[in-house]
Amino acid sequence: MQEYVDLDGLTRRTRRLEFEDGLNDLQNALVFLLAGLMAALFMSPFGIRLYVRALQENKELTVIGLVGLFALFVVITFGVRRLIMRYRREALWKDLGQIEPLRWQVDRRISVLAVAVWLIMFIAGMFFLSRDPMDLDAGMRLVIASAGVATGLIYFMLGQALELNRYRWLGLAAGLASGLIVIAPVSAAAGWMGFSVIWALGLTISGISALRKIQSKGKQNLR
Amino acid sequence: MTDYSLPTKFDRMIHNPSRLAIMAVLAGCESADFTFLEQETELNKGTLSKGLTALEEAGYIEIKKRFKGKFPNTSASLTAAGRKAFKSYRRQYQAFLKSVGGS
Repeated sequence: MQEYVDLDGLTRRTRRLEFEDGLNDLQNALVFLLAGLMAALFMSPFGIRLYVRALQENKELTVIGLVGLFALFVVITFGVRRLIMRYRREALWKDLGQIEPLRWQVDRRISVLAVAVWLIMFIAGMFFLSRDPMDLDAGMRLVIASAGVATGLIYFMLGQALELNRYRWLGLAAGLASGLIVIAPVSAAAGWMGFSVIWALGLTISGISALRKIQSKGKQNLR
Repeated sequence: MTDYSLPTKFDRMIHNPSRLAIMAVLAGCESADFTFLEQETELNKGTLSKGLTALEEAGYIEIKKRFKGKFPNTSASLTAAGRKAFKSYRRQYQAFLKSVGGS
């Protein structure tokens, strides 16, 4: 081993391993899509009608159904994560050795900044709503757009920290695109759907490009 | 005149190149097994083993030995004290590089 130790390089390479195969991106794309579908369903006139009718007919069953739906979402999210880790252990990382990736990959300061961005835009949305209560969709679009900008900020900063170009581009492009929802003349339900489609699409492209890259290099050359 | 000597406050346990490499890899994950550490640090088995033992004795890392199927597997992770010590070392190291005009 050489005497000079590239401190940050070694830490960064280790942190990056979790993102190099693109499987995380595909998992997150699924999460965004499912969350967007659920949010859009509950905010659409059809979803609200369905919910009110279900409440009138059987309150307990409706609550159980909602909790069940949320539980299914959590099970799918964590189930896919477990499958990915198993595939990595048994195939991708078999010759490379095993690691347990960091629980919090995003720097605490960046997370606080992203939450602050979201919160400021959320409060602005609420203020906007209180002045013009009839335009519920405009206020909701501001909340959706702020979530998009905050997510974009997190991906961009993650790309900076890990020196991953695809995350820099994803953060910029998807963050900007979902930020534009604020000026789109659409309903809140359509806005949520747009937000989730933008992120699901961005993450799918990012994930597939990473997967193709490691396939062309061969999994032995993951590093 | 610029003073190029290492500051005495540097943690000597981490400052050793092989132990520093181990700490740097472990700082990027929750835990890593022996094979991964060997490949990433480019240390030979003996040096890696010695480094791990020294860091464990200093309370900077925790070593777990278990079986994966029929094969023994050793993994290491930074303790809270180890993570704190590494952060502090990294800060001092960067300040030192800056003071001597390095990047």
